[in-house]
Order: sequence, then structure tokens, then C-alpha cells
Amino acid sequence: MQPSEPLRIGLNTWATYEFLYLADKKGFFKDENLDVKLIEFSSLFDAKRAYARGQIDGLGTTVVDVLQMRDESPRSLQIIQVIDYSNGADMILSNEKITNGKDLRGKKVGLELASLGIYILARGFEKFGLTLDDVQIKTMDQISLTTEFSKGKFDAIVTYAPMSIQLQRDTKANTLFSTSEIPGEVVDVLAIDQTIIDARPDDIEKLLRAYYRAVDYAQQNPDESYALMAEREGLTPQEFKEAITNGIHLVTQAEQNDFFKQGGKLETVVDRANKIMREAGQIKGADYRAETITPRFVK
Amino acid sequence: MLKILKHKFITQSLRQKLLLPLVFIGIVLAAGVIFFAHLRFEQLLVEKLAVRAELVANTVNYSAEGLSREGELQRIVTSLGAEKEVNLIFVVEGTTPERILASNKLFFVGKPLADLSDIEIKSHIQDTLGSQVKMEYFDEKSRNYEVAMPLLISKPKSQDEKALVRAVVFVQLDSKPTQAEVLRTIMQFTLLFSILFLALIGYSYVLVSHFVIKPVRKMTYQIVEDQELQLKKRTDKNYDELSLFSDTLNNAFEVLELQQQDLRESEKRLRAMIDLLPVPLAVNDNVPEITFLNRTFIKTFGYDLTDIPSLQIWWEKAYPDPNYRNSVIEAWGESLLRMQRENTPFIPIEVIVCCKNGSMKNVLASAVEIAENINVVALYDITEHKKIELELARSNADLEQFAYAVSHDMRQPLRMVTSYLKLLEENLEEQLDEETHQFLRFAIDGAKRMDSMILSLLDYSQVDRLTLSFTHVSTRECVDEALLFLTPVLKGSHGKVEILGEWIELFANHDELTRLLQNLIGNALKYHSKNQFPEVQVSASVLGSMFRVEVKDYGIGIEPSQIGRLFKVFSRLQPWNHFEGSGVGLALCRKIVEHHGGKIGVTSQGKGHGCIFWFEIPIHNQTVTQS
Repeated sequence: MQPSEPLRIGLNTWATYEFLYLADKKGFFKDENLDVKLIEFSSLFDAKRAYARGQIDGLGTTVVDVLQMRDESPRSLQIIQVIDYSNGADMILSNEKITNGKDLRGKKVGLELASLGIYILARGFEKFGLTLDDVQIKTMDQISLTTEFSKGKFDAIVTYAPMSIQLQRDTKANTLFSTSEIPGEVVDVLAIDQTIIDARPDDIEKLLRAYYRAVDYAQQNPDESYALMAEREGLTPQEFKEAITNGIHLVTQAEQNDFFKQGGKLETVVDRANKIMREAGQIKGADYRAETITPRFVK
Repeated sequence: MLKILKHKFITQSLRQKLLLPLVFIGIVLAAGVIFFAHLRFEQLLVEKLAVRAELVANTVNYSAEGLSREGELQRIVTSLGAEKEVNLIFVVEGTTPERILASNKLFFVGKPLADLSDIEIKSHIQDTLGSQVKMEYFDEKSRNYEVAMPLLISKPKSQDEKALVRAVVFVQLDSKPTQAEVLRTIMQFTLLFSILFLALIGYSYVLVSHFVIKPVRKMTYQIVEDQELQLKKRTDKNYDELSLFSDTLNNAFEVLELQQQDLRESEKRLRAMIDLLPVPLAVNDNVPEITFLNRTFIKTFGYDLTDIPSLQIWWEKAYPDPNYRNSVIEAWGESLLRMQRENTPFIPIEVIVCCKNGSMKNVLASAVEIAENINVVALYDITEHKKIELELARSNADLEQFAYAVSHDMRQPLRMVTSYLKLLEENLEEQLDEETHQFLRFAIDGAKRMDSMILSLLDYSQVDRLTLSFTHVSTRECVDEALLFLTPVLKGSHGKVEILGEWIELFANHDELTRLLQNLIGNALKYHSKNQFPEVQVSASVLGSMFRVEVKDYGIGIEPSQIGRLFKVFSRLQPWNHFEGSGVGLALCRKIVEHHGGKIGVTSQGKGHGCIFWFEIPIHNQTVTQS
């Protein structure tokens, strides 16, 4: 691996990932002498596929998906930083006709081809008293999901900001369930491949430094920053601000240790995610729970 | 500055001089390769990029028609966008206004084409939309490769209907990864060629160094060694191996020229010398041609080079009788061979040469080889010499004859005198007085003495005649025999003779040798003072090729001034009344010694001190002349 090669990070559309784009735009990566290529994916599933193919070195993803990756690919994905946890940003949206979760029985539910969707659906259905077999599940990419739902092809979909915000804005959708009911369970992380960590640990440090610099910058220059970040997401700055403050809880650098320490929050999340996914038949292979967390980059 | 450099270059070894142009050629070739590589690099780069761009565009193209949902196209585009080299992908609808259907930059999805800030990209896309022809662009500055390809997108028209819409897929590739790849290939190629060139240069250098410079060097030192030259290094000129070689060669030729000059001079001097010598000389080579005759030769024999250009003609003219000629040629050849083979001087041959004017000359011929196959022949004219020799021989013979005759004939009347004197004495014994008796005795004595002298003379004259041949002789036997003969003398004188030294065997005449020793030892015993018993030491030794005998006595000695008279006939230093003797003995000794080709002599400290008689004769006595 030559140091001149860029660090390739795959990101799907998720509000908190925008800080990385901000860092790129403000030249914070360049200041660290780090060549980073942020590759856009329309859905987490595509990002995961790209990682599995070896097209990218790391990605922004959920803990659930990190676990599931180990089931699908021989590559070893490592959680190095916690970015946020979903606090309402992930939801089950239904069309205006359905107001209660119970009403979903026998209906068409759309899911992204990623495991998070199953997780949320499963958790939500627990509340509704349904099982996954009670509904007609159809999976597709996020963008298609959104358009199809708008057309009325689905009765409900699992979606997240900013698509959810757009839909809520443009249609009369109902929120049947959101992560605000299960705070701290859906954790978004920055995950990097093991071989990259081994080969270029300094570059990872630089990446995180630039990221936190962007976070600080956004705090100091919110208007400018939110304007930049919102545009990319297809939201107004106001909507964006809403999204990252209300639906998502951004995890600070200081809070990292709580997650990464022995017996910390990350471990709990990993365990729970593993349990639920195995119950849902999404994870079948060996238990890689112990090999998913890399705390070395936590200060 | 340039001069110094030039000088430095010129004084370098040939190796360096060779290396410099080789290196220069190498550099030129390398530059050429690099230039070519550079050109090729651009070519290869564009080729590869074109292929990849096309692949990406085609992938979008192939899938675009079969897609049912918009999201699917976007997914494909984002997946392709994850590829290493892909910078931008736009799929633009050809509607009015033109709309971006999909892109790897999600920000642009759904926006109008006009929103693109890059004017060039916008125009590329618009051009292709308009012309529906695939276009490719390579940006020299940014080194990005772009392709715009027309395609048909499947779009749902209504619930179940789909329509194919005209669109364009635009792909921009970042050439950096491909550059690295192409560079690697080019570098490998360049490296390979560089190694090849280096190897070639190195090999050429080694070849020349080994097959040209080394042999030249070797030759140079060989010449220096052979000709014993000083290896000259001129600092103001170049002294690489070739110049050194040519310099050395020049030196060698100079030296050779000088040597040749010396040789010519020497030859000239030799010729002048030979010419002037008062001995007839001829020079012939091994052809055999006669190359030179000196003045004396021409004067003596009358022939010049035109008369006798070759040895063959010389043989014919000088020895007209064929039989004699053949024997001369044979003898000459033999002597030459012996000289060459045994490395001994030429043994001269006596011949009779016929001169130009027909007269015959006695010649002693000798030769010496002065150079390879070049002989100088000396022909001493010994005609006069021969005449004198003949005269001498005749005179000697006459004399001998005379001596013999006289002595032989003279004895008879002497016998008469002696016998009648004796008778007289007998008859008149009582009538004569003592004095008269004494007179008679004196007379008889005188007669006896005379007879003895005549006998000695007889002896002396016979020495040459009777004894001619030499045989292998034991000198010890001779001396013993001599002593035997001297027994009465020994007894009478109460003398003592001591024999010492090395008594060898040699080639001589037995009788003569015995006689010689007898005479010398006899003399030694005889000439002693009255109150002395004679003591004689006879010692023999070998001195080189000579056998030397010394007869030492402690007798009356010889006055040194008288030594000269000693060996003459009838010469006596002592009166008859003191010592008997006819005075012929030592002369006889001298004759015998001379007959053997030796020398005789005496040393004495003077009267009363005894003397030493010595003689030396050659051990291997050979005849000196052959004819």
C-alpha cells in the first residue's frame, strides 16, 4: 500500500456523515496531508457491497451492519469511532391511511437492503405485537423505496433522515415507530478495514482529527456549515439543523470512552444487535462480536 | 581550461578513451529510449484510459435500458463511482431542460444540467446530446480522461408502460492510478533496455580491452624486452596504449637502424683490413660463392673475382688434376667439419695450387668462420718455405751421411793406431823408462778418446735415421732401464739416485728416452767434487700437456754464463783430465728432446752449487703436417 493512495471512505446519505464532507470541503484533510476520497452511495447496502468488493477502505455504518458484514465477507471491519446514535431519525413511515402499527398486518412493507431496516422493523413490531412474517416485505434501495412509497406502492417503509424528512414534508406520512423509542440502540459508527488500520494508523488518526475539527468548526460557524451540509442532503439548513439535533444525537469525542471501554455501551449494543439479528435469521455464521471493536483511536 | 581538459583526455589510457565515447553513445541511446518512452507513455495512458472510460460508460449503457426503477440506475452509478479511477459520472436526460438523472455525486441528482459549474463538462454533454455521437476528451492539464456516450434510458411512461428516452452518460476518469500503472510498464521497459545497453557497452568495453588493448600492450612490452629498450613515455604527447606501441616500435626501428649502420661500418672496416693484410685472403659464403678476394691474394695467385666467382670454379682452376682436386676437396671438407663440430681451430692443410699464369705454388690453407656460413680463407704461400725446407732436409741428410761415413771410416785407421801403439808398448816394455811409458799411454789414451768421440758422433748422426716411430712408452721403464745401464757408474761413484714424481705413459721413442735419461743421470753422477758422493734426484711431473723431468744434482754446478755452450756438439766445460767425456752427450740429449718436439734446459746457481737439468716433451705427440 503506497501512502500516496487516497483513503477511500464510503458514505451513504446520513446527516452526521456530512461532517466528513465538511472537513473535505474546508480542506481539513488537505491540512493533515491526507488524501481522502469520499465516495457517495445512495444506500448503506451499496456501501456495504462496495466494501465487500474491496472498492473502499472503510465506511460510515451502523453497528448492526458491522456485525452482519462479518457474516458476508472475509474482510474484517473494525469500529473505530462512534459518530452518533439514532434518536428518532430512523423510523417506520406509513401512508396516511395507516395510523397504527397493528394495522400493518398483511400489508406491504418496504425495507432497504440493509440489516438496520430489519432491526428497526423487528423492534417496532415487538411494540406492535407483530412478527416479520405478518407482513409482505419487499426490499430495494433507498431511493427506489422513497419513490415507490411516494407512489403508494408501499403501505409502510423503514426510512431515515433526510429521506424521511423529505417524505414527511412532501407527503402525508405517519410515523409509526422511531428510534426515539429505542434511544442508544441504533448506533452509527465509522468503521475501517483491519488491514488499513494496520498499514496506515497515522492516516486514521489524521482522518479523525480532521473530522473533529469539522465538528468544532460547525459549532463555531453553524450558519455557514449547516448551509453547506444541508445543500448536499437536499434539505434546508433549518431542516438539517433539526435533523442533527432532534433525531440524532451526535456523540462527542469526550463521550467516546463510555462506548469503547470494557463493558461499555458499544459492547451492549453489539450484544443486543447480535441477539436480535440471530433471532431474525439475519446472522447465521460464527460469532465475531469480540472482533468488531478497535478502541485504539479513542483518546 | 579546455586545453587542460583536452590534455587530460589525450593522456588517458585507451581504455578511458574508449569508455568516454561508449558512455556518450550510451547516454544518447538512453536519451532516445527515454524520449520514446515518454511518447509511448502518453499513448499508452490515453489508450488505457479510453478503454476504461468506455467500459464504465458501456456498463451504464447496457444496464440503462433494462432498468425499471430510477433508484436502480443510481445504484449502478454509485457503485461504478466507487471505482478507483472514476471522478465523475453523469447520466443526463435529453429533455428540455436537460436533467441529471443519476450521478456519483448525489448532490446533483435531479438537478438541471445548467446547475453544473464546469462549463467544459456541460458543453461536452450537450454536444453529445445534440449529435448522439460518442466523444472522447483528454485534458492535457488535469490529465483527466472524459467520454460522453449517448444511450437510451428506460423510463416509465405510465403505470405499466416504459419509454426509451435519449440520454447521455458522461464519465470522467482520474488518470493518476492509470498513470502509475503505465509508468510502471514504461519503467520496466526502460529498465530492461538500460540494462541491455549497459551490458552491451560493458561487453564492448571488455571485448576491446581484452582483444585490442591487452595484445597491443603485450606486443609493446615484448618489443621492449627483445630489443632491450627504455620504455619511453613522452608526456607532451598522448601515451595511450596504441601510441605507446607505435612509439616503442619507432624506437626499436631507430635502434635497429643504428645497429645496422654499425654493422655496415664494421663490415667496411673488416673489408679494408682484410684487403690490406699481407696474407692472401678470400671470403666465401655457404652458396658457396666467393664474395671477396684481397689484394695480396690477387697478386699472389693472379685470379680475381671475375676469374673465380664461385668455389666450384676455384677448385677447377687451382687443382687442375681431377684426382688431386678430389683429395683436396675431401681434406678441406673434413677439416671444416671438424672445426664446426668440435669448435676447434681449423687444422691447416698443405696443398699445391695452380696459379693463373700456370705456375704452381705450395700453399698452407686455413679457414675461420667469422659469421654464420661466412668463411675467411687464408692461403699462405709457402713455396719458398718449402724450397728451404727441402734444402735443409737435403743438407741435413748430407751432413748425416757425411758424419756417418767419416766416423765409420775414421775408426778403422784409428784402430790401427791404437793397436800398433799397444804392440809398441808391449814390445818395448823393458826398454822404455817410466816417462816414455807415460808418453805411450798418453798416446793410446788420446787414440781411445778419439775413438770414443767418433763413436759419439756416429751415435749422434744416427739418431734421426734409425729412430722414426713413436710408440706407447712407460717412462718408468725407461728410467729404470737407464739406471740399469748406469749400474757400473753408480757402483764406482758410490752415488745415490732417487726417483720421484709421476712417471706416466706417453707417446715417444723408448730407446731415445732411455738414452736421454741415461745421459742426464750419468752426467749428474759424473760431475761431482772429489770429496763428495754424488746425490741425484730425478723427478717427473705433468704440466698441462707436457711431461717434465728434472735431474737435480749437488755437484760442481755450472757458471751461468757458460750455459749457452753446453748443448753444442763437442763442447765441454771441464777438461778431459778432470772429467771424461766427449762433449757430445748433451748435444745428443738436445737432439732427442727436439725430436720429440720438446725443450731442454738447465739451471744452476753457479759453481759449487749443483744444477738442475730439465726437459719437457709433449704427452700426445702428433705429426704437425699432413700432405
